[in-house]
Amino acid sequence: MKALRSKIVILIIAATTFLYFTNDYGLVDIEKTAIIVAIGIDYEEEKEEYSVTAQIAVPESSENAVDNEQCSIEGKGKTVADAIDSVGVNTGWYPLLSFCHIVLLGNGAITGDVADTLSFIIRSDRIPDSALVVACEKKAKDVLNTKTPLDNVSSFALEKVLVKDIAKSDRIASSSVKDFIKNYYSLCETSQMPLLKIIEIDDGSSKEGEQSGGSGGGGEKKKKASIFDATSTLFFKKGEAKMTLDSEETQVYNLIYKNALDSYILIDDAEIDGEKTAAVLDINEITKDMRFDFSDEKSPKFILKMNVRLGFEDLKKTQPVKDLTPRQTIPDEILETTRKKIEKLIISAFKKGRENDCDILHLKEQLYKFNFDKFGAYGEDILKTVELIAEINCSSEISN
Amino acid sequence: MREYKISVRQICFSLVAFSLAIKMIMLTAVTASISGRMLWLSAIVNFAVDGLFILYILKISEKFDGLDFYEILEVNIGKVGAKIVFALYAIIFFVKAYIPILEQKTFIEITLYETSPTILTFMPFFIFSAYFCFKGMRAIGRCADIAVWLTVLAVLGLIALTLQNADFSELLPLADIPLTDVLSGGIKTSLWYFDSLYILFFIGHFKREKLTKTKILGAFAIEGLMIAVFTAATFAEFGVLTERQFFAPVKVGLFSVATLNIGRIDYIAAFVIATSNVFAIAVPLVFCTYCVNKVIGVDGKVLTPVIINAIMAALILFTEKYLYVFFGFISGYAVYAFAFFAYVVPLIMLFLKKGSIKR
Repeated sequence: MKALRSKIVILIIAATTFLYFTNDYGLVDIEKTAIIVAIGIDYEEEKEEYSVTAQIAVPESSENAVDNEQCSIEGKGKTVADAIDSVGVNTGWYPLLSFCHIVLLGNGAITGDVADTLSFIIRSDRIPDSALVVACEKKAKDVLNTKTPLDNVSSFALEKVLVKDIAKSDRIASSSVKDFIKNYYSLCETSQMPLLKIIEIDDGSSKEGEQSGGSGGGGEKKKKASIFDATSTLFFKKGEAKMTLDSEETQVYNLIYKNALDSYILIDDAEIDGEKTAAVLDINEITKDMRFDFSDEKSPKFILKMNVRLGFEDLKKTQPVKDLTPRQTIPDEILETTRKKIEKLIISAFKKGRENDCDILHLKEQLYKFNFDKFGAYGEDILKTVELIAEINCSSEISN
Repeated sequence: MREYKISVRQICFSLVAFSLAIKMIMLTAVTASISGRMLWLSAIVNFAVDGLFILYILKISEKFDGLDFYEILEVNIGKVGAKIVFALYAIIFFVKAYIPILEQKTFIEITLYETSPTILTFMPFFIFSAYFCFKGMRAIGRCADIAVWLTVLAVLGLIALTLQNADFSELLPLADIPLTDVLSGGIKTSLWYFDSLYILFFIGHFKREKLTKTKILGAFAIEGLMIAVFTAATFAEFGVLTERQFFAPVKVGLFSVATLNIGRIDYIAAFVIATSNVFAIAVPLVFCTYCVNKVIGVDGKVLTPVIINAIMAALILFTEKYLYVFFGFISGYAVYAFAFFAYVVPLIMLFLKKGSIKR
């Protein structure tokens, strides 16, 4: 029996080593692998060609920072997959997409049906569906090659901006590829993603650049540093970009769909002791309720109730020391101003959506899910016929 | 005098450890593609039918006072008849093992490898499987004692990660999905079910205890509940895209804040499920070996499991690219044969005469 066991063990070892020496277990050598952390997708309509810029993670020492352009590789093709494939074919590096957390769509790629571009990610298991998708005002390649003080690698900086917001302030209507495509196939056919703007800042590098250019006689001009703003939101109907919500509208949109905490509302003209001043209010708690009201059969109503508990975060006015607490009671006038502001922003965002055929409140889906018996009668035109009633109630953190 | 090969506890654990693990990979996506948001109901229908037959088999087996399934057939239809029936059951178990093995192979390739590895990397599984088959029901029981905790923790972990992003309103409205779709979803995914088949072959090999039926049905209900919750939570997370989530254990946890911030902790659960599945996918082959041994009249021989696993390995080697073709055949046609042997044959036992054996 012992001899038999030994033979079996030898056989197993032989089989395992056979696998190792024939194919290295099918693994790709790490040195031949480009770990892609973000991809930027651009589309040239004239050539009908996609251009994918892949930003790769490059190990670096603190003294020897790598420039964005040095860690970007580009491929072109008739589809996104074709372009990614050409990255591998042309560079000899295997493009590993498992760690790709950001997908940037350049201005050329957001014309037409965006799902044509993004469906590759859903179809393929090579890239995670959780990758955040962001639309750019410029070419995605330019965004990835942007120099930013936030991080040496632009996509890492961008990830900080987008991912940190997920956990905290809810200023950005972030969307994963999965969320975008899920909404694309939903009844309302309306999906959204943040619209990325690049804001140039003066970090002194331009002066250095000018000086070095002057003394060196035609030296390379340094790029200006930039930071990112993704607080606006681009909405799509059936994959076509239709409208943009500005920063404040996006924040209120997020209040409806997320449990926004640690988010702030700026009131420009808050009145304290008869004086107008700027105030920043901290949102501590939000409870929401959304439902249809069909009491008037001709004109269905969608009632959006929102209770917002607020605290003072900051006030541009010195107050007695006893009032320097977030739990300070907010005067009714300020609460009323805040209520009106939130209500106005919700109504304006909704109207903007209606004008552009974007069902930003997912009314058709809500009707189907919660009032299925009425769906046949109202479903098709619900966005056009419904009257939105926003019942906003703002209260101080310590009030009942 | 014959020894018992498995205990009631081990049967309960095997239902939760193995029958649960085997349903975790592709079942959710396939059910969603047919039943849509009512996938959880299709799962419950299948569990209800299986549960009723488990209860029936446990009840009817009391009539035969300790005989196992082969002995019951032998007493009633003779040795040759019993051998023919067992030969057919051997084919059923062999076919039943095929899709889960191919599914596990693909799951491993997707989760562990970036590029397609050689098929040979999966072949060592059959060395283990042959040994597992050689050890028989005893091995199922002993491995279940360990694997049950791993499977339960992994599934609960995945459900917890899924719940963070689950919007259960995706399961509404309860109307608008035809009952035919729900039933069709149940039938076409039933190759992952028919757990009552195992109970049929366990009878006579375990010592009856107090509340045996309650314990086994309780374990089965736990398995059913976990699958119903998992499928519902997956649909709540992915909505219409659920039918694209073929390898659910590595998909559902991807969107949780914990995974986004820490890294792929969901892979721990996925690997644990893959580990439990190594035993789970070999279980039908254990019963296939048992049936073949009965047919050829040997017991405890090395050759039978080696040959059966070699045939399965060869089949996998030559047909690995045809997972979806074979799936279409098995879910469309072979499941009716499974249903006949899992449900109709046990019903015939109602008309068989009693027998007994001294232990």
